Amino acid sequence: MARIRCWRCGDEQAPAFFCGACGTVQGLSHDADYFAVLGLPPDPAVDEEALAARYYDLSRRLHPDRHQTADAREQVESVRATAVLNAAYQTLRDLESRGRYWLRRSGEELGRDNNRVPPELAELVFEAQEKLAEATSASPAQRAAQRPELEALQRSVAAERTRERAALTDVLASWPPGGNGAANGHDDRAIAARARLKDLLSRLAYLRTLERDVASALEE
Amino acid sequence: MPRIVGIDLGTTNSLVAVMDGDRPRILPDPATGSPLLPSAISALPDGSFVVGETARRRARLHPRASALSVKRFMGLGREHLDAADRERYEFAPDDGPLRLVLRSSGDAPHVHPITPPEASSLILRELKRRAEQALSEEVARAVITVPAYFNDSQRQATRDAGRLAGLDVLRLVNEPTAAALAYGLDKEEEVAIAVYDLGGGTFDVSILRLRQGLSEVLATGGDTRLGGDDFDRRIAEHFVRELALPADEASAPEAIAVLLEGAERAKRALSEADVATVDLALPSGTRIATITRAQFEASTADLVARTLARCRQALKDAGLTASDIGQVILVGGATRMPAVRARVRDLFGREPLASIDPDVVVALGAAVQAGILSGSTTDMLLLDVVPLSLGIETMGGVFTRLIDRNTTIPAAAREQFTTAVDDQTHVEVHVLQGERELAKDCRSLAHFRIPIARGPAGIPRIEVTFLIDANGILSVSARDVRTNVEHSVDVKPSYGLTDDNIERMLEESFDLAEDDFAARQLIEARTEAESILHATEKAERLHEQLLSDDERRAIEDASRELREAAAGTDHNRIRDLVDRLNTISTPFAQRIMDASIQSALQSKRVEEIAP
Repeated sequence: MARIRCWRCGDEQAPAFFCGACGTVQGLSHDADYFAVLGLPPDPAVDEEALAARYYDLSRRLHPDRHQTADAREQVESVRATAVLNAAYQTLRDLESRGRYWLRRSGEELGRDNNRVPPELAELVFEAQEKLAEATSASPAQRAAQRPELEALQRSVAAERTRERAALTDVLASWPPGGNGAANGHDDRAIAARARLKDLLSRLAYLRTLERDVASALEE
Repeated sequence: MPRIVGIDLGTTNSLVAVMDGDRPRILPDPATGSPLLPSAISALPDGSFVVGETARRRARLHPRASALSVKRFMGLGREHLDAADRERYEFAPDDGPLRLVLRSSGDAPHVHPITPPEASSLILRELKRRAEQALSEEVARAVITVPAYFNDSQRQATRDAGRLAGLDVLRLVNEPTAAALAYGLDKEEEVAIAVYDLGGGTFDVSILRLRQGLSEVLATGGDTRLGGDDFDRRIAEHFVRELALPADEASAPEAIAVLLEGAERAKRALSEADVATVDLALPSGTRIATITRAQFEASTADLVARTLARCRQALKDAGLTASDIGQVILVGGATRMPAVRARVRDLFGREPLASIDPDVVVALGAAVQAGILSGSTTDMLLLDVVPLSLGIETMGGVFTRLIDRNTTIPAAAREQFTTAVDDQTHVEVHVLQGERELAKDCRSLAHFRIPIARGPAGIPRIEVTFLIDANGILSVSARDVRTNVEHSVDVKPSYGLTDDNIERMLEESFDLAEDDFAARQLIEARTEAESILHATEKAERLHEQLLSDDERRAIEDASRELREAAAGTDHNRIRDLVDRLNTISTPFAQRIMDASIQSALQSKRVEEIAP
């Protein structure tokens, strides 16, 4: 990690919200590692209670409301620092966004070819598209009749999503694969684990969109 | 250290409060003791303005010279006005920032174009003066509340109003969040609460989680064009139908002012009674109008339903269900309506809390936040969210989100831009706010250009950082990735005022007639005189058959004497003569009322008899 200097005392240090020498608030770069800034071990199986506790504690110290009487520069630094803290918390507290962050941190992206239907979901997606198409072209009376079918579809999408989320929780909980510490490594197990993570995340992204489409069809 | 005040700049009324030790306290009008300052402004023929109760009274006499709810227009452009706005107010036709045109009547009628931030600044100046008088010290710093659902332009406009009033606005706080702070619930155990805030012109709902002094907003929603005023309008429409007023009469500004004022009285009465009967001093004569609670509730059910839909969306955004909510807080005078209370109770399955007066709770919360900022309150902290997604226009007119709604603020996002053609010298960035898919359906906030080092298409890399501060206001910075040169970004607001506009307005600042205490007394007395003279003349003209010759002579003598006194400067004498005219004309006024009720009853009988 690049070393930086405290804007106030000039002390050279690793990126952190407070200067190790003078304790002044430091507005960090957005590239800062979210686990490091929150003072958590780099482990994707985050203890949610510990995460929230760290977030609230840091908020109390970093938030601009706490630096309102300070000089202009410190006020600016506190806004920037809190923005990074909020981004870190928001990313890590949600299972799926934490998974995506972990994948990126391991050097891979989800990629933009997400339009491809994940093969495991093909059957569900086919059924959903058919029912959604019927709903859009239906008269109000027909729509009322279709409602139970759409609701059943909503339940199966939700159930599928719950299953995939449970699998994602398992993958993140048992990281690094095989417990050998080579999360970013090039051995077969690490590569396989990243591929599995990527598959799960693409399926979840697909299910999220599907869930939204079904919900909006039901609202109409 | 000088104190920081908390201000609720409301659509209908505004208030100022301050921390007294560890408790917030409203600073009332030193003269009348009233905690509320009506958010009304009115132009006088000499080019100065009055605000507050006097302005609200003048609005009845001179609707074209007065504005009652300028907050509706904060941060808007001409294209956001609806037909009702245009019917009620006149707007300057030019392309500059939106300006209301007020026309003062009198011997030398005057035209006063005024931007909504300037109009609001007059109200803020009066609150500042009120606070300075009560605290006996200069007040230069304030926390001002805004509807949670205000977008960036509306927030900027509010901050500009503060600047124009000579206030350093340390923080804009969302109204529902302020209300939660005022309740001080956050010192208890962890609980999720919902704040339902129906004000004069805006609706907000916020879902918060409170734990150990920390108030974390989970989601917010609302409608900045839905409030108590809309309920008044429905009652006024009912009156127009009931009285069978011709369209041209019903759409005259004078009649609209009378109808809305009567509608507001009826709405208040219906919070207690099953039927409300009000007298309407219409230009064509005094009429009696009636509305039942059932009629009122049927004609406004859709408005309440709209607020409930927003509540359900906010719950969903917060990832909660109604049964997770441990407390519901009601804010805003419009939540006194029994139907609103009942529907909110049904939705959340619990009796809502309204132990603090819903009209003052927001100002009290603003004072609590002022205490937090001054460092005197250290056991509380507020974590709020941005109400609407923020992003940029990308290829094909698509709105690309950079920061999602309900993201905790301060928040930041970065995006890299490049060029589409060779040797481009700059890139254009269009910033928008909203929830729709297409840029044209979202609210345009700003345009800016970033200069870049020339290069083949697709090669330059500009990194733009959007930062939303704790007020929910956006700032932008840019960096050329190849050269690592930082660019200052000149953000041109799509709506609202530029720094140049504000500088000029500060120089040409409007006169607030009330800055001078003697002048203020005189204006108030004259307004009273004008009100009663106007009402008396109209009554004489329209109901002369109810007047004896002796009585007419006595009233005319008293009127003439009052008119002469009002041209002078002795406010005590004016007030004495107002009282005298009032006493003399009371029996006459009583007879008019009796006659109107008789005729209303008769017409009702005819209706009842008719098949």
